[in-house]
Amino acid sequence: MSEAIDAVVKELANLGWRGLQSVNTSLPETPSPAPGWAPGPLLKSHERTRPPLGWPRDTDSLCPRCVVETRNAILRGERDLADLLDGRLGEIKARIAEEDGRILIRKTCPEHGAFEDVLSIDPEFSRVIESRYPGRDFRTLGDELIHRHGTSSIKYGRGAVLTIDLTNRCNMMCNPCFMDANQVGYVHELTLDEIKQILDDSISFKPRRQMSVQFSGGEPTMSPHFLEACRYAKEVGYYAVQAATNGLRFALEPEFAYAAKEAGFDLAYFQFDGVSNDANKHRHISNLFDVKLKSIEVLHDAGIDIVPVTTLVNGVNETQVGPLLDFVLANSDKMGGISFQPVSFTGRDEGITDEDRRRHRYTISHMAHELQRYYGGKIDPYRDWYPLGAMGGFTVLADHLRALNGPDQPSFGGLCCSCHPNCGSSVLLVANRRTKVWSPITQFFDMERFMKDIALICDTGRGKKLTLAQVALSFLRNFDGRKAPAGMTLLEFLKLFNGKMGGSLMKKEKEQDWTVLWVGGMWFQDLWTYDFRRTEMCVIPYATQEGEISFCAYNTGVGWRQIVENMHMVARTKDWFETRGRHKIYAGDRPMEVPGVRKLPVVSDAPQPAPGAHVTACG
Amino acid sequence: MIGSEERVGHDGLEPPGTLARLFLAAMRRHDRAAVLLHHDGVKWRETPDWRFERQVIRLALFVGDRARLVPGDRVAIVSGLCPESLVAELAAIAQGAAAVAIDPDLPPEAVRRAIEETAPAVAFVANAPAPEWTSGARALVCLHGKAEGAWAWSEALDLGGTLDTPERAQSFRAQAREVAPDSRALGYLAGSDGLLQCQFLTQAEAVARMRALRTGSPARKGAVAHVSASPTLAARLALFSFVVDGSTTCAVGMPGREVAGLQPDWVVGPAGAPTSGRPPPPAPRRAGARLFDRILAPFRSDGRDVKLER
Repeated sequence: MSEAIDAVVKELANLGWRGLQSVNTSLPETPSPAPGWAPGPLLKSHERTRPPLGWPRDTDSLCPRCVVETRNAILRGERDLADLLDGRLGEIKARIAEEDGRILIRKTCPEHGAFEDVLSIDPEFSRVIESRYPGRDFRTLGDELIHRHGTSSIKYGRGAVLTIDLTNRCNMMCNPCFMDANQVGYVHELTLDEIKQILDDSISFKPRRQMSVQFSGGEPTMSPHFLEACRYAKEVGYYAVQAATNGLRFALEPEFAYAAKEAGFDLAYFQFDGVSNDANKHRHISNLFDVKLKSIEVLHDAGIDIVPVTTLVNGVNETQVGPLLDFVLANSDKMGGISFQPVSFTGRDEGITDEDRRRHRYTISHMAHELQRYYGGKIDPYRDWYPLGAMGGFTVLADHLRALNGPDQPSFGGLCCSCHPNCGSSVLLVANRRTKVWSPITQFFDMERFMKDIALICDTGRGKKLTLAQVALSFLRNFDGRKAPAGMTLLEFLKLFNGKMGGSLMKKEKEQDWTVLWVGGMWFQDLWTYDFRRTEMCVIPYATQEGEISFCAYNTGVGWRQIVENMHMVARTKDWFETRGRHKIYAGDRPMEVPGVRKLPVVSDAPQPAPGAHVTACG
Repeated sequence: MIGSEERVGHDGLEPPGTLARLFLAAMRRHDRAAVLLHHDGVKWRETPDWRFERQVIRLALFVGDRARLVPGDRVAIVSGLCPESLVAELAAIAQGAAAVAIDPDLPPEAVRRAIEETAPAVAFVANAPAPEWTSGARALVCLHGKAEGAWAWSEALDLGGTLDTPERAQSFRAQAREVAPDSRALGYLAGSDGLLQCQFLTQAEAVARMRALRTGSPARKGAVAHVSASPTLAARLALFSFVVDGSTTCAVGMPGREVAGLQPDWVVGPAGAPTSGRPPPPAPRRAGARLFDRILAPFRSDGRDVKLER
């Protein structure tokens, strides 16, 4: 009966939508509002620019050998930093093309020869992802003092996560580590005044960004200013405060988690490589998984959200993708999703051999297929995956609705992830915390059509009431109750959607049984896969004493990290230890002593499922 | 984990035996936005519990590292009551040392004799001290500004911040939990100017005094206290009782005009009528609000009981 009603409602909504649009689209578009935080009127879909997509295509890349030589020459003082800013050092052309059912990047350096790497093992998957990209965000304005890194400068967008390395000190000794923590021989650690200045600078230009701050490192909780930094970020108006953390501090000192929550810390972007101690052994702590469980328990008790983040390395932990998602689904009361990061060979891995690089290379397309295989097709690579930048389409709607609020204008634009479609993709799941039922949203909701509807609604730009009415009609016509998981009603889904939109549609309610889980793949570049079209629209800027630099330009490509850290190092590590005391480093494949480790639900301990098997206790 | 039942000032609940444990408990569980308020000349600044606890831990780690402070040592604090003096007292007390408060407004010779009598391992001074005052101390920290041969407050907290690892922080807490109830906690100087004698309350005695002080005046969410007395034992006990009750926000050490905006529930003021230049304490927030004992013992008769008055 309910399904029949749903079907009737859906059809009526479809008719209503078509009727309304026959009038709406025949009228001229209303000019977009120009809120104070934006550099101009809100962009209509046809005004949004796009980077070159598809293949074959040419782009600007880096020679993996020239870059290292140039960077080292700058660090030794043999070359001037200006050479890097103005000289396009190490830059070479690259061609992205389909070959033998894969997408490859090829480039040739006159001095060091040819380089090749894999960008995708499924061209159709990549084509679908690129086709769903809604276009770039604003071109930045008034940011000359912040974005001043030559060809590595960020040119578009308002960013999604502002990353700030508080310290390069760390209490672990991992491999891989893209910053080579504890090994570089010096300490780079921001003062509280520097942190405040960086946070102030990042909201000094337009678009004035509503973004999350992610404190990183090293291990950011080792910075003496971690708590104060959380507090200050919240005070000046940042949307959420995260930390990319290994979680050891919270397991060792639960009181710190409560203090951090009180100071403003919202979300632990939580290093998490697998659901067994064995799957974490490359981190060189023999009971690391047990320690992680303790940390999760403490963080959850303190009210801090958790998103596990897993670096995926082919031949090391690629079989953990499914078990890890099982773990997140089983603990969906504690976690908001999971972020998979296919390995980028940088830091200690920059000297990797070609053979090892080919063996360990892992892409988002690998991941999409692994999840399809693990869940027996329940997560579909072509139906369920969207570029991270697709979320920007929802920001457009949120910005539009807020701009129609009259005098109550927000001082920040909405959180907008508008990165290049090759930078990352994600699947959105709905999951019931009580019954553990879950499914991809796109199983029962036509996201592709909904996003087109949203673009049309914002482009035509009618008043608030008419905008909301159109959103409601679109919502109804794209929801298919027959395909929704048991218990997921239209109203429940609307509440979830509204919550993720920050309450833009109606009063926000606290989530009850149902939640949305984000399963993301973020593929940072390295010297072999580098594409300047990606860095110039980076949404994860690294904020430093030398301005904001694209994540990849900072960590994995040009290697601004080494340059900035050398410019601003505060001590040699040896001197630091002598004058300020040593910190403990957990390594050597020994266990950590952590009192009170309790078990959380672990639904799979990494046995390899049979091909095509549907292995989950959650679905 | 120490539960809220161990906080002082909650009716019907038995507190634990030591001030150190009460401090840990209040930092772990509290229902206030800030434990301290102080006026920086422009506006009120809050010190939330997380910041306050971190300062105490970091200062304790600093004195442990640089002065090898051990249980049983004495720490002299030559300062009026202020947020920094409170942090210094608790850093010492939580590690089993005794904190001896010395009124900086005493004649210089009396201060010198008081420090001599105290024989501190570590001395905290409000401002630059005379060199000979603290010559025996293993570390000297200047709470406000800098002084030759002394650590500035910011330097001490900065170094303590680097030492503040989870392992050391938990070691601090473990040591605080182990402090014996009969160990000396609060030192004060009694006697005439010519014959000062350092006397002590143990951890347990301090807790008992605080309980007596708060009998009938349980902690209440949103309560505000104003403490602007000299560093007498009674004023310190009152101040500690507010800090460890987990509910009261305490404005400390600024008897200026800005206090009028506070509307405190409790006032701990100097003995007798306000002295010149100090406005009268503000009226209680409402008719039923409690007016804390304004008539606290002056320095020389320190150590007597104080009572709460309505």
